[in-house]
Amino acid sequence: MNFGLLAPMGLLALGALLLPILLHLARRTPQRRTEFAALRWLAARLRPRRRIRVEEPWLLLLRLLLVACVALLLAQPVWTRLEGGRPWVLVHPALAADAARAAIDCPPKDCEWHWLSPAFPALDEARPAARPPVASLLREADATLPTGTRLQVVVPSELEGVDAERPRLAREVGWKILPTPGAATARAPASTAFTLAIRGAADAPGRRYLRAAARANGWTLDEAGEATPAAGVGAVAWLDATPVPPALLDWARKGGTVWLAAGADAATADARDAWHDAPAVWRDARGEAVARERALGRGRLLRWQQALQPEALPLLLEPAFARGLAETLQPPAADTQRAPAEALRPRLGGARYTPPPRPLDGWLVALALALFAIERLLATRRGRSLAA
Amino acid sequence: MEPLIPPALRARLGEFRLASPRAQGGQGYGQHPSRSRGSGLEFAQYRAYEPGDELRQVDWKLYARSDRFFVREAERDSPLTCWVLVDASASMGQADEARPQWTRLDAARQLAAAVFALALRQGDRFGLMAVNGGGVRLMAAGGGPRQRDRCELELRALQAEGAWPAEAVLRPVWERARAGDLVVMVGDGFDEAAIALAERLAAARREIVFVQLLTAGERDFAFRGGRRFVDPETGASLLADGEAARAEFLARFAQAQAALAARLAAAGVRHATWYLDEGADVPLARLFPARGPRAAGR
Repeated sequence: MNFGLLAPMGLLALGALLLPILLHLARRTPQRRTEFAALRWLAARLRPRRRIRVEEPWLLLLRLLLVACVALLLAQPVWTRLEGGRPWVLVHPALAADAARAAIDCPPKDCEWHWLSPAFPALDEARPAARPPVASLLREADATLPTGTRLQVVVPSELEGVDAERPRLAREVGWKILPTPGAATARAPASTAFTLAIRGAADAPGRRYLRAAARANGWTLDEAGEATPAAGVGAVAWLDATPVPPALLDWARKGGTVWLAAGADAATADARDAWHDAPAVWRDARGEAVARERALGRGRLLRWQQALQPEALPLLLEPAFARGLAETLQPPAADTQRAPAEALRPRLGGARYTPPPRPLDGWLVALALALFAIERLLATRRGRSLAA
Repeated sequence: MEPLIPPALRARLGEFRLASPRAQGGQGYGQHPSRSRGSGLEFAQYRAYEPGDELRQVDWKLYARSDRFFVREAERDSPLTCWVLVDASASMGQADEARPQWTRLDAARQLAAAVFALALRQGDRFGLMAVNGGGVRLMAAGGGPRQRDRCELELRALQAEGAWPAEAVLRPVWERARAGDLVVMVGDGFDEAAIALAERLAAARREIVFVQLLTAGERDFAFRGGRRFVDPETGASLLADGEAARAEFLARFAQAQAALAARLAAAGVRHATWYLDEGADVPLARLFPARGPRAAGR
């Protein structure tokens, strides 16, 4: 438990402690009027001035406490919880809760069991979705839990949704791998069957280069079809300067790819400037954009930035052209988010986050109000002559 | 309207009895022993026959036995006139701090009412005299319950104000209180003129009883803190601290009270001090006990 002040200059208000002390100092006696008939035998005797005396010390103490409370409130005290509570156990949703409980012998009264899922639901609740962002959740748990809390994670043998490196955490994490035979999903093979359709004039300049690149990539060509491509076509290269027919655009919206020539406009409504801001999906060795991409519905529109001629685009003559074409039209399906769990054992070295301090304002306000009520009760009780 | 005599005191009135050793005879029948001899119920003595005595006073049985003439004398009982002289000057308006509604005048009223009840019960005559800044208020002596009601009304109308008046104003006191009357003087004893009046009344053959009313503050001086003491009669004020002035005041006050007691005793005035936090039975038991020693000079 760590206490601190967010605004220590507020403690300057403690100077107001002087006020109740000054008020309570015994003043020159207030000279109450008293009827007394036997005055002739009374001599005027005043009390000798003694050392400093305070009247009603308990009321003074109460008022000092009240002022100190208010000054402390101005200084905004906060407290941070450093040592942790029970150890936490996080279970990957791909595992069954019972298997995880059997693997780690920690009854619920000793450990807190949660799913490794956003917001860390308790293990008793329903199993959440099966592909959590593991590394991100590990970092979140490491940052939000108190420093002294032990953390254990139960994971299957293969993890998806991980970063490219081992997670760096600020604490030691118990990394328990439960072998799950047959749980590894087969990797989807990267299929190379692709059909490229080329539409446009027969002597369009870029046709021979596209044809050559398609053959190099092992793609099927469709050069003599109608404007709307048949089913199974991966992408359509539109080499004409005429506007793209709306049917083709509809096909693109449903998930197809249409690659426009340099001077072509997708539709009459598109302005040339729209392509200026579109992200470049293919850059050459010098970093200049070769093709830009725009999303259209569920598909996309691509556009060459230069005319498909060697004078304008020297890349056409290089072997990198076919590869670039393949990469653009067929993004690699490599799943960089899957890794064996053993390789992802977290290591130390992460930044230690101190949990945000929690304010003590509520408690202090309650205390100040209670003190005020008692002080008013004491100050206005009947026996007191000056109810002030 | 609350009764002037609280029920507890009224129940104890049987323990007290007004008596005066100077009671005179010759004014009718009453319950007090007197010096006068004559026909009556109680036997006093036999004496020899002298010419001029009434024949019916001669005891014939004794003559039969002794062959000489003897006159039988009995004690003659006579009534008493009782006056209550209340000092209603401004100092009588003082009360204790613990009980600010009970002033010295309230206590004096209670004592006067008790004396009237006693006198009524004994068949004596009684009257009221109240002295304050406005002079003397008098209720002529009489007997019976109507007199008691008149006196009670007069008591309730009393206010504590002013200082003790000049001697000339007090002439009605001398005119009404005859020799042999019992005068119960109730006051605080701080006025020199009042004490002088008591002394002179005692010297003039009135039976004076002085009940001095003092507050608990004057007995203990339990004031705390700084005060401005104000004399209600003169208006003089004095700044003093309670604890610091206590010892000296108690010493001087005790000395003054001792001097007063000596003076009153020398004048033959019976004196009782009544503190405001006591009941009225204290001075009554001291001064008018029912079974106390009989008055001298019987």
